[in-house]
Amino acid sequence: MRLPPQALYLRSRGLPGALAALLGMAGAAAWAARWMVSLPNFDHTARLPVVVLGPLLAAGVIGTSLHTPSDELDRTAVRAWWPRRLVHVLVPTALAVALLALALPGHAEEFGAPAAVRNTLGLMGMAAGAAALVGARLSWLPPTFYAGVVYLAAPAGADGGAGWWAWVMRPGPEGEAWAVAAASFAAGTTLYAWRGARRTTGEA
Amino acid sequence: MTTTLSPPRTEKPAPVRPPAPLRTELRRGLGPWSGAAVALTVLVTMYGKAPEWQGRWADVTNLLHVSAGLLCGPLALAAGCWQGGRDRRRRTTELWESVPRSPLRRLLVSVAPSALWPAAGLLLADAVCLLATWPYVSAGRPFLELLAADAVAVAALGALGHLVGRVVRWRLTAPLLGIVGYVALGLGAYTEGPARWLGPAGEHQFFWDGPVWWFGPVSMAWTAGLALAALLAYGLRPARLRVLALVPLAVAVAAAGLILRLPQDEGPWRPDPALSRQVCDDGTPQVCVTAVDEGLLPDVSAALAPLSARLKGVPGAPVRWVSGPGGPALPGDVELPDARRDSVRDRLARPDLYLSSAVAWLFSDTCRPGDGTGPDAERASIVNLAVQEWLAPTPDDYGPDTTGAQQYIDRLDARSPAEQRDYLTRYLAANTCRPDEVPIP
Repeated sequence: MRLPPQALYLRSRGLPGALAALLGMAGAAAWAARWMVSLPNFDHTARLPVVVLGPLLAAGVIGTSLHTPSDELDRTAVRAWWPRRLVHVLVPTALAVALLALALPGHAEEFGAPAAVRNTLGLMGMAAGAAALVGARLSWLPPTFYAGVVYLAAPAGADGGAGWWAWVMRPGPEGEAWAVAAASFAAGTTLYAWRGARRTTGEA
Repeated sequence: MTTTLSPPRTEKPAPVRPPAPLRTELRRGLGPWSGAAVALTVLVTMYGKAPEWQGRWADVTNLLHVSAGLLCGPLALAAGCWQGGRDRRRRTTELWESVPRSPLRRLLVSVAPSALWPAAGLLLADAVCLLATWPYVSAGRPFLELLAADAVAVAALGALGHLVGRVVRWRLTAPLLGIVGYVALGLGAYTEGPARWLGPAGEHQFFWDGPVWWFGPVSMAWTAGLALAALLAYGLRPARLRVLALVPLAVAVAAAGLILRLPQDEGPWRPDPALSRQVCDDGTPQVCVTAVDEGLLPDVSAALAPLSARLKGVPGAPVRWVSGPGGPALPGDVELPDARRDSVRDRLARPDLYLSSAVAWLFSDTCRPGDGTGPDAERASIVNLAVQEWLAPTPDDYGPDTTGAQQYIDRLDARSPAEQRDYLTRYLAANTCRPDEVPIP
């Protein structure tokens, strides 16, 4: 049986596994969100860890799928690569956004679907940019590091410009946080579509 | 004539020793970066919360402990996992098998950066934070053994992550391990019961306690024992030698047994009377703070001075302002708000705010449901506000709107000092939960 070239592309990037991981991530996020809200003394604001970690995991899954085992061969192709790279980032991100939005229903003004969508876009942009700069297999590291630092360092309120630098920790409808996340997504995706994942040897 | 041709004598070149493999491993790759990332994570976190910890050893140790467990632990796991998969990514696994060194030795050398660098980064951040706290503390000591136990725990997590990275070949292992580690360590920190003291992020926020002396070393034995058992079980060959891994495992289990036998709620923490000792000034009413806040006493006395001047000699006025774990012990004691919470680097940040909250605490009668109702309720609450405002004007940018109470404040101001004292005496004698008892100025 001859597979269409798209299927070969999907397989060479391990995308079926990545999509399965995304589905698993969304299921785990939905379960964790329900469970945390059901705990005594917790209300819907307890979903903050899910709103940060779910998108972080999605960004890691999509970011590592940008790795290609045949980079030099790919670059000899006669067709332009940027449309494929762009689609490779946009389609799984759209899927992750939809899944996470479904996993966190209600309370859009706090830590619900809008915050999860914003974080997915922003962290995915970071991961795509990291893939272009440090290599796809290590692209999860910068967003993980950033989220880890901000998680404890972020103040409870928006003072000190927290809407800008701690955007993953902000409630859904905040303009500054959305601006940073959107800028990160645009910049990271553009950089990746333009340059592709950084060619790395065994180390990365 | 013949001359013997002897080869020119040259100095034998000194043999150039290749750098030890351990040094090369420590200097290359992800190791230094993970150490820097750990140090940066802790320092950024601590910097953002500096007013909360810069003043008490208990605060700084606790926050360092939590950020080590919750942030550095997962980071060490993920970085170690990435480092552990290196040989597989480079396809040098078989090459390593040809090296004339035992598998355990090779394993220990390659684990070293995963374990040592995060621990070193953490210790560096610890040292910076302790030095930044030192000038501003009054009593007690930093719990260095707990910080050392944190560093050992982070190193153990790095080593365990490294082993997982060696065994599991999946590109998402490292980020997933980091996130799962974060969730597991976070849940461990929030569980009730003695099991939370096994986790490296169990929080304890009480400023007048010290840990039992053996808790630090036993925690180290627990985490290091687990990691060492895993390393030996993986690296020892031939297989019959792997029984040796049971030795560190037994040590870890024994340590865990000791920790699990700790009391359920306070765990290893015991009250330290030297820290909760009351230190008082010689004013009237006397102002007392605990020994850990001794450095704040002049500021607190100065902040309360206008109030003390008004209350001096009034029957029913407080005899002593006290703060600390015991609360008001003698009749006439009134509790003070926590001064450390309102201070930055051993100075009261807002003395006016502190004064107004002290007055609010002074008049906070605990009312029963149904109290504070009746025809005079609204007027009584305005009078309460006026008295508080008259004793300690709330800062402009803070607190409730006092325009409604202004007429009573003006009336109080217009009176003679003797009349003011007389009114205060009647006010202090009244139960503010009963609106009809509250006297009108």
